Amino acid sequence: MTGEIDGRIVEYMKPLFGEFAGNALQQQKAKVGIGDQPTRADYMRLVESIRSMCADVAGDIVAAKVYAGLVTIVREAA
Amino acid sequence: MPELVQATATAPGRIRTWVTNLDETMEGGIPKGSVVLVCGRPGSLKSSLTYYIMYMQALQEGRRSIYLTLEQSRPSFARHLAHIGLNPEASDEVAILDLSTLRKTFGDAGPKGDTNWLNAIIGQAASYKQLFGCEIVGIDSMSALYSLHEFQNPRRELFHFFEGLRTLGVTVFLVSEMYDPSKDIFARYEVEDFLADGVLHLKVDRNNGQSNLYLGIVKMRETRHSRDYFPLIVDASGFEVVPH
Repeated sequence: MTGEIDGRIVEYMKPLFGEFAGNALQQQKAKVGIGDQPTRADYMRLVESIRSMCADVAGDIVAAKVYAGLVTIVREAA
Repeated sequence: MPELVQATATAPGRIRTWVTNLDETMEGGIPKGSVVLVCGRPGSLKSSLTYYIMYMQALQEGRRSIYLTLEQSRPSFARHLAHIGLNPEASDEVAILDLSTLRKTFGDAGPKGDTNWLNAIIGQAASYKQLFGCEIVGIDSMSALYSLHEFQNPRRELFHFFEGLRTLGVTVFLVSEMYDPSKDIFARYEVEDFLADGVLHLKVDRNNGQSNLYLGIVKMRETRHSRDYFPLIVDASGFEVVPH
């Protein structure tokens, strides 16, 4: 399940992070302290963190759009 | 900031530059789907002109764009744009993607240590188009891209790069720095202007302590266009060329 969600998150991050999307996800997971068996709450904390990173790369408006997509992915997976 | 103005009839299949008096000299604009070099020496407003075209396309015609900046940070570019009256924070119609931040965070080699940046840029633009939609892509700059990509056979690799850009089905602007002030060499490998569909040249004429800026259409495929260089004025109302 985790792998499937991660894969969908990486795909959604690719427009902003390109080939770095996978690295960006792993970096944020480490930063937030996500373990091997993340809960939905963990993923919500993760997408909040990714939102901040997106804002650095593409500004707040685009970051909000990516965030909304990521939240949908997490909710659908729950 | 340029205001929404009454659009004159937009030629079908064309991307207007919205540079006052320029589109009239090339059948109403740049053919959609073209790959266009925006060339000039440092300080000739290449980035500003490229962003301005995308900004005005969003404002006047509702077209979405992405502007990929490889060297200048997003905050720095936004501050620069604010000086010419453009506010990139106002909407996401023209998304500025700061790849310089990614480079600083993750390194130039990429996740696998041997990233092909030419393909990576095309892939990223394709991802953005698929997920969020866009009709115009700006890449700033070719020099920065070249510093990341190790060429084995520039002519062949650039051919495939330009063809890859065309497969995106969008109009592409490539910001290209010119190095030799005495020659009209529009990009480093001297094949880019052959591969491109169009070349816009910003020329700075320095005389008697004064700098004047000129804009010329060196090349535009499928278009009858003027080959003159026109004085370029940039002020609060936008970009304007002065017809002869």
